[in-house]
Amino acid sequence: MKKSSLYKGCLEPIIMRLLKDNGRMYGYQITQMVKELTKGELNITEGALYPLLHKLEEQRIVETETEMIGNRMRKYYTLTKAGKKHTSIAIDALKTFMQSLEFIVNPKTSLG
Amino acid sequence: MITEEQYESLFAFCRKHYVQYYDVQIELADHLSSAIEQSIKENPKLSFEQARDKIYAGFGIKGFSDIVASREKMMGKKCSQQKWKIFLSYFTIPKIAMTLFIYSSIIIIGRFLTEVNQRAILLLVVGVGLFIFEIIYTNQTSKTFKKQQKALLYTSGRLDGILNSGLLLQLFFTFRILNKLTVTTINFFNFSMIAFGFLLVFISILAHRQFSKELYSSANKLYPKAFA
Repeated sequence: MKKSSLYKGCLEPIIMRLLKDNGRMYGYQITQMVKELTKGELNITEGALYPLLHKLEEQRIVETETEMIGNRMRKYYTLTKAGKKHTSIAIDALKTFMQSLEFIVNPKTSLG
Repeated sequence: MITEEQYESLFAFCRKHYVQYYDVQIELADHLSSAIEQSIKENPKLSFEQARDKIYAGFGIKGFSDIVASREKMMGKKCSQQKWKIFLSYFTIPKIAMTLFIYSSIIIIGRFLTEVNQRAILLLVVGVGLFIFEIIYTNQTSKTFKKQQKALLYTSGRLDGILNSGLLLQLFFTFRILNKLTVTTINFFNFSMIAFGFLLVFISILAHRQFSKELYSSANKLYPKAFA
């Protein structure tokens, strides 16, 4: 089974959490930070990242600003006020989901 | 670090892979250049082109198409929300007073028109006037955006109206076909409804004018290189 299909549904809270912790970030930076934090276990592809960021922008969870970095123009993503609230909800949902998975994958440990 | 020339070549690379909008190219070119630099740092034997192609392959079989599609969808929705926000802002005091004044003037005139065809003629004059106003206005909007040298997804919805007189004329004729409306002897209720429709179109043109101005000024600030 492809690892990417396992975490596909979790990308949204992951990105939101990173934005909450780091303020503003640009696309490439997000992919690299996820890779670094998970020691290369999780690799967000560009084809999954940008459509998701655009969806979050459409839902007004994130907003963007562009800035000149040397001769390059860079687009940064930041959580909106509503996005910050939404992040806590999404993280809680992810934690509940992880606990539920634990019940299935490791029933003995999770029952104590 | 990649050179200025190599960075610029990434815009051409995006265009070659069907990304025509400059604002989408900016993000992709920045992503590609950061990834290329990292790739060359990890493997100095790689050439710029080799690194670029390797990174592009990471975008998957669809290349940039999903990214462009999701951005088009997002911009379409954002644009439409902004237009309706401005349109609805016309229904506040004192703008509502002006709206009511225009509407009551048409209605009062309509009250006095009782002869056969008179109301239809008035509506036709107002309708055609509105249509001409819309065409003139659309031309002006196109002229304003003439300074834009590069295609931007951000401004691509600039000519899409909120409501348009064509839609209203279509409704007018549908009503006729269904015999709900006899043009020669339009009753006062039908006259008021059609006049109200024209008023909405008029307001939507004004709102669209404001939207275009705001769009032009923010696009200029965000993407100065796209303008001459």
